Formats: sequence, C-alpha cells, structure tokens
Amino acid sequence: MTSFGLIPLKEIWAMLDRCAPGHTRKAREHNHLVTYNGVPYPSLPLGKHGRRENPDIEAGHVKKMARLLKLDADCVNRMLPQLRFK
Amino acid sequence: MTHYPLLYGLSHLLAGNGFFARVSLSGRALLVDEGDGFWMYGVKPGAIAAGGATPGEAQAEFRQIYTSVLFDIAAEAERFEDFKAQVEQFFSLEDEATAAEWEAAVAEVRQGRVDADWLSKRKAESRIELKVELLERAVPAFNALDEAELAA
Repeated sequence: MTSFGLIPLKEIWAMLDRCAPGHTRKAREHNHLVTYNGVPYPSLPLGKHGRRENPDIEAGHVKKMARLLKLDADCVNRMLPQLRFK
Repeated sequence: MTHYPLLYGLSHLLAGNGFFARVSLSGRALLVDEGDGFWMYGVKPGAIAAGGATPGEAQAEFRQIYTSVLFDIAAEAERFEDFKAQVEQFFSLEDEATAAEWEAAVAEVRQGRVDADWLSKRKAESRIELKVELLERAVPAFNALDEAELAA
C-alpha cells in the first residue's frame, strides 16, 4: 500500500487499542488528537465531510503518527499489514 | 523514491478566545516523491504529514493541515498562555526517524544527486524557530508570505 492507500478509521482505532495501550483520542473541530505516553499527535484527519462514521484515512497519516508515537512496528504490522510500517 | 529536504516558513494571524495571536514558523520537512504522488512529512514540527499529486499540492495540503491544527488549538485554549504553550509543544515534537532521512537527503543534494529546479536553495543549517506572539496592535510587518526552499 502506498501512502495514498486508504485505511478505515475503525481499523486505526483497533491498532491503537492494541499497540498504544493507555492512549487517549478525541475529535477536535478539524482533526483527531491522539496522545500516547505524553506525546500528542494532533493532525490525524477526521476524514472527508459526510463520512464521519468510519471514514477512510490515507496511509501516510497513519505511518507518520505511528512513527511519532514510537509504536512497535511488529504490532502495527500485525494489526495493519497493508501499511508495511518500518 | 526521491527525498527532498525542505526548509519552509509559514505565518498566521489567529483569533482565539479573547485574544489575537501571530504564529510564525520556520520549519523542516521532507518531501518524498513516492511514484504515485508526493508526500510531505514534518521533521520539526514532526506531527504532521500531507500528500498531493504534485509537490505544490502536497505543500498546499501540508499548510492546510498545519493551519487546521492551529485552529483546533485556538478553539480549545481558554487563554493566550494556554494557546502559546500548546503551539510550542506541537513545534517541539521532532520525528527522529524522519530527521535522519532529512539529513541524508541534504547530503544527496550537496553531492549533486538530488535537485529541485522549482525551489531556491538555502543552507541546511539555517535556523528553525517558532514565534507565538500576543497581538496588542496591528502593524503591516506582521504580513508575511509563505516560503519553501531546498536545504543544501
């Protein structure tokens, strides 16, 4: 999957539940704020307007968030194998 | 994949809860040609990424997302001091892995293996900084154009 590939938000939340235990997340006006181990990631998109229930998120955002939050690569790849996270 | 190390500048005048603020940023980002389009990954601040079909589209999307983060912070902050602290925290987040790729990309530029003829060049060691100022009076000097240059 390239960075333009799409991942349903529910799959991202399931990955965070497994790979970032204790993280918090909340929807702001424009982005989701995800915080893990005291590190905030404030720019995870909400998704396109009108598809807020389970929008698709571009993989590039997910890779960046996983990098910044220093998530375990093996765990991320088990939960989101299409991401091929390094 | 070709990696382009960027230096960029963005400036915003923002309204918060009972205050106006100016946020000016000189940051670093890595622009990556991924074959099917371009992605711009923040180095510092590191908590941001954006994609587009062309370098210009990726940069425009990057600015849009950066601006939206500032708007989110401004909407939540009850006072200027809270806003300033949160924006400074956002700026302080450096993505170490992407920073290493940015440094490697600078070496490629210096060795002549990577160039971007649509960008001027600036020394990679140029200062990166963030200023968050409370606006008590407006002056034209606050107006600033966006900048993007290739780090060399």
